[in-house]
Amino acid sequence: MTGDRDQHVQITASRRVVLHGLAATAALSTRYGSVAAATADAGAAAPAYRRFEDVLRNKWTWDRVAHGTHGTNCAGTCAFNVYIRKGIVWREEQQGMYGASGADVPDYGPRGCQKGLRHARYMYGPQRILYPMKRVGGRGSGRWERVSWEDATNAIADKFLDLATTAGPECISYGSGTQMSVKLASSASLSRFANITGVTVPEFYSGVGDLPTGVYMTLGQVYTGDTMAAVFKSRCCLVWMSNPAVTRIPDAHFFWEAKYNGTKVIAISPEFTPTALHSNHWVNVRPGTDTALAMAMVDVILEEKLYDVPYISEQTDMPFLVRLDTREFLREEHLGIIGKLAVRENVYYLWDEATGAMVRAPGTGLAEKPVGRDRRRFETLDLGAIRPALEGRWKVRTLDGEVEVTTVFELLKQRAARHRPEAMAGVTGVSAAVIRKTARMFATAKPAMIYTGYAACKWQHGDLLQRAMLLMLSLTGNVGIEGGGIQFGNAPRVRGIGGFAAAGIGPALRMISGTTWDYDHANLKELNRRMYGDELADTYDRYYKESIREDWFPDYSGAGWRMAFFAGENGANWRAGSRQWRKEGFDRLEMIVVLAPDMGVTAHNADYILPIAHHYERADLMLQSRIPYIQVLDIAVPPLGESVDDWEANRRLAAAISRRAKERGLSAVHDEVDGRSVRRDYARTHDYYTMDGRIKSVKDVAQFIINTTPGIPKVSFAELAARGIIRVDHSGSSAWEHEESPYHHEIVESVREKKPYETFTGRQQFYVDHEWFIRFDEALPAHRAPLENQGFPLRMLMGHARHSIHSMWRDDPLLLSLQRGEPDVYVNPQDAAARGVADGDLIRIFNPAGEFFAQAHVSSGMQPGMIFSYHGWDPMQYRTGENFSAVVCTAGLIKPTTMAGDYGHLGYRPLAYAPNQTYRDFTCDFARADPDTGRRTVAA
Amino acid sequence: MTGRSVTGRQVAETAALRCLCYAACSELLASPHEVDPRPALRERIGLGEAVPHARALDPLLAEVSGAELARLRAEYSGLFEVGSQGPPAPIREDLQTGQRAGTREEVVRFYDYFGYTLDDKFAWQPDHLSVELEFMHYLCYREAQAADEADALSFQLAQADFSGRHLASWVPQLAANVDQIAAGSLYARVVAAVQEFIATDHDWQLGTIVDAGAASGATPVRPESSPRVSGRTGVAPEAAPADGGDEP
Repeated sequence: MTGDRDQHVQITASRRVVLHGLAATAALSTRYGSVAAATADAGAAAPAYRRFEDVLRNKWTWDRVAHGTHGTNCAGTCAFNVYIRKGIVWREEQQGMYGASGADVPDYGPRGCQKGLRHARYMYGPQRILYPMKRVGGRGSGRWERVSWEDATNAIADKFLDLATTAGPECISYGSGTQMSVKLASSASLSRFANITGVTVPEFYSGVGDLPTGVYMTLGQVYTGDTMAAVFKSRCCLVWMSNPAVTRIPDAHFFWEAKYNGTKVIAISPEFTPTALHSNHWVNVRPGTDTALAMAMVDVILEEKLYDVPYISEQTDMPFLVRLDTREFLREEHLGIIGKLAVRENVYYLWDEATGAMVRAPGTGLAEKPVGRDRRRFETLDLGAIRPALEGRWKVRTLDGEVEVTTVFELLKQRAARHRPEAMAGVTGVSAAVIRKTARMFATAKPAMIYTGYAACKWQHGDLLQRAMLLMLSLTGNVGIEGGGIQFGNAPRVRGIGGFAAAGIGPALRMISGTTWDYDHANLKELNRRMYGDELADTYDRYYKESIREDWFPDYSGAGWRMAFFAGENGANWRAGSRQWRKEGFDRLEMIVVLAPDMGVTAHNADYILPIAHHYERADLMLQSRIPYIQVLDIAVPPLGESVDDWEANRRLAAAISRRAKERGLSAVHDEVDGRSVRRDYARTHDYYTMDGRIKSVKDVAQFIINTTPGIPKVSFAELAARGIIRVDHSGSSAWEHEESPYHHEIVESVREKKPYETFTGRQQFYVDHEWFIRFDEALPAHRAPLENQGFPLRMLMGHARHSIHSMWRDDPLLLSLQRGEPDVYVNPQDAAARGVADGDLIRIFNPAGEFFAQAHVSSGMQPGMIFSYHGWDPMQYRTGENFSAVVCTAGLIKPTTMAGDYGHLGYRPLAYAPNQTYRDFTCDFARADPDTGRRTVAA
Repeated sequence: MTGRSVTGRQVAETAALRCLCYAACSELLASPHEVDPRPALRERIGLGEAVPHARALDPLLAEVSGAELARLRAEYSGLFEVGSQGPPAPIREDLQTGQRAGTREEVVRFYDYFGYTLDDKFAWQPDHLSVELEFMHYLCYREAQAADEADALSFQLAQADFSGRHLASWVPQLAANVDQIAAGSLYARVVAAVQEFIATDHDWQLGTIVDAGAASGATPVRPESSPRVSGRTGVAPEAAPADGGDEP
């Protein structure tokens, strides 16, 4: 009987039993539910029941089917239908409503993978965080108490205000990880909260080593990818540092359909990956020698004149003149006093074969700024009647006297000649014949692409590899054409996120590279010293400090690191150099707050945990580059327990900060962000956050983003929720087809419309004459051997896993049952035999940084001299509570050139130019371990 | 076809008293973060004097209703609600039994069949022990107010089946789990007492169900679908179905 929870019904008046005042009557008292009036009324007919099968006879029906997806950073954005009955999500299935992507390319849908299809179970699993939690034992003891949101946020707000009003908000970090970045409204909410409060946001793009700095050095852009249909359009696709058969399950079909359509799909990887299994060819390069292989192929392309002269003459810096005395570009400031006074450092020169004279390169100079949109708008790469020489040496009169000049192309030939295939065969383990054959296949196919993953950024010298890859592509005229180019992910230009973060308050966001944040606050110089010696540690530190001193990169180290929020990331899982980071940074924090839907090692070590709604319990938007659809996350069921979405969690934090600031009578404080003075009135945090109450929920945030982001169809969130997916405006089978699409297409425009690139030279810039690049002999790319730890012979590689997206779903029991059920490490049979290890043995993997234990997975797919671990395993899943990052000691390897500045496009630019936290330049060893080593888990 | 019937019960009295017992059990194991259980429990002290197999509940009704709310919350949440690798002793059947396929579906089907609908706030955890106990409370209530014997029979058989297939099947595992983690603690004793009541009451129910089709006359039978339980010993049922084994 709905609404009548205490209906007392006497059995019979004559048989009432009274015991110590207790009436022995049937008293219906329901706390959790209600019963239909018809069934609760006394004497109402009961449903006939005789056996349990009776309850199974009624056809199972759904109360509702919602549209949703999984807001995680696999970049899949797969459209799912989510089936709900009685307030529970019971199952999901892939939704096949994608339209045709084009007449001559495969379709995008249906999309999905086994992780997504497990989520209806996973969201109710034991790992789920359902209530605000307060630590009641020591950090990491596993002893918790449930507390109310009010108690938790008050305590957090008090600590926040203590620090923000004394040391400044700079010492409080708000780490946002990959789970956050892809959910547009959640990301915007976090950005607004950070913008208002002044906390520091260590961005994870460089922080996890995903930033393609070499691409940025060359093209002035990092977002160069197209949709997956581009793979099908390619005639030769090098799948390099990537394993899409495992990591891009919804999209892998594009590769295999391309192969059956005649495209040469060539996998390049040290280990025999599932992608290699399906490709036409597999080139098994030695770990860390990929740049040697790329430069050897560049040498073949140059030697055999397989390059595209008109393309490189117009689009690249290959014909630009370089002084042989200083190794600098010849600039106007070198030629005369006017140029010197005007500091015309962005005027470059060509040798014109038509006139036999030096001429200024079109599209250089004149613009107000050395790089940027003005030059793209008003200038052109069009050579007109100029016929630039690619080869030759000339004498030029300068302010320093007569100097000899040559072209970048000439210097490149010399550089490439140091990488002859025969010489590089010994370095790479790939025969000269295979190198030549692969180079020819690549150079004679058009369009040709290099589909690469973020592993290309995770070596210290990954920038050199990317520059070498781009050389292969550019020399053959394949950058900026459909089916070609370097295929890192693109990223939509969601202007609504930044707009929402700053609306009504202006921009005051502290964003810094996670790499430099860790370097400053975890004493990573000391880690470098212990792992790589004094010389490297001191040299790198000297350049680091010089970059800060020169103001090329911001410095947020002054106030220390005293409090941290972690949202959408499991930051203590994946740090390179975890022991050092934990000891010197994380463990010293005065307060750690984690906002998460699931437990992981970061939450395990927190002081407060705030429960966050999972994928089917929240409203949001997702937009990625690989498929041109905006995808909704609709609220299929209310957030479980006391979890809330990220917007609401930050609102509650903002409310607590306001409330406590008022109660404490705090007045506004002054803050300074990157030289700008900012007034922080913490009593008004909630008003600012909600725009004085106008923004009431995350759906309003989503609508703000829809309304203000070009290229996103202008629909209501409700309509989007009803439809699930909507194709973005101006998208065809390419993300590059229209300038009003929401995707980056600057590189394509430069090729098609001859607009100068946003580099210092205005060209695809392969020669970088910054003094640091010249000093390190990296003005042009070259192979440089990766670092190693002496006495430890094995390189450990890692990659994204088939059965998880980072650490999400890593602990799902069914998915574990499809693997080894516990963390494993792949080892070569010879290496295993040499150490007396058999398949399935517990092994200890160790080096000077630390050790961890895992099951040996003996596999002939591994080269001798390497081991391999899929990533994402949480430390709590290992025997001793430490995962692979115990031996990854590379966090402090901040390559000096990646902090160069005062050079056109080079200098700190958030999410574009910053040093990566790298993960590869180390070695280790393994040995058979006592099978009883360690406890199975670290929880109390 | 084998028919089942219930004999030998004084329905009016037993159903009402058992109804109160299940309410008390449900309240004892409700989250004190959701509602303060103490006033309701105070009203139920003395129940054990009327229901012999609920005797163990009485001292706990007194102890819980007299305890500090903060203590109840801390101990309850630390055992049943929060933990670094999930709650140390999950209080949901689905989690205690390894998210076995079909478990929650059958629970929800039982609720559906008998018109018991959870509020939105609690809908996601139909398998919470306190909710399942409340459902038993509701079935007893309906038995007590049944219009006739046939009507009562439906609720009696449903109680036996629901208890056998669910509560009596998994709560011993929970009790053992809690005893291992926090032996002697208040909630370890509460779970043990509730488990004892469930097991004894289930046995009592089975003792009054007869198979009308048996050739030798009315013989108490165990419902075919009920897994064997050894509830009194507080150990997990030896014949617990494997994953998916009882998929409806």
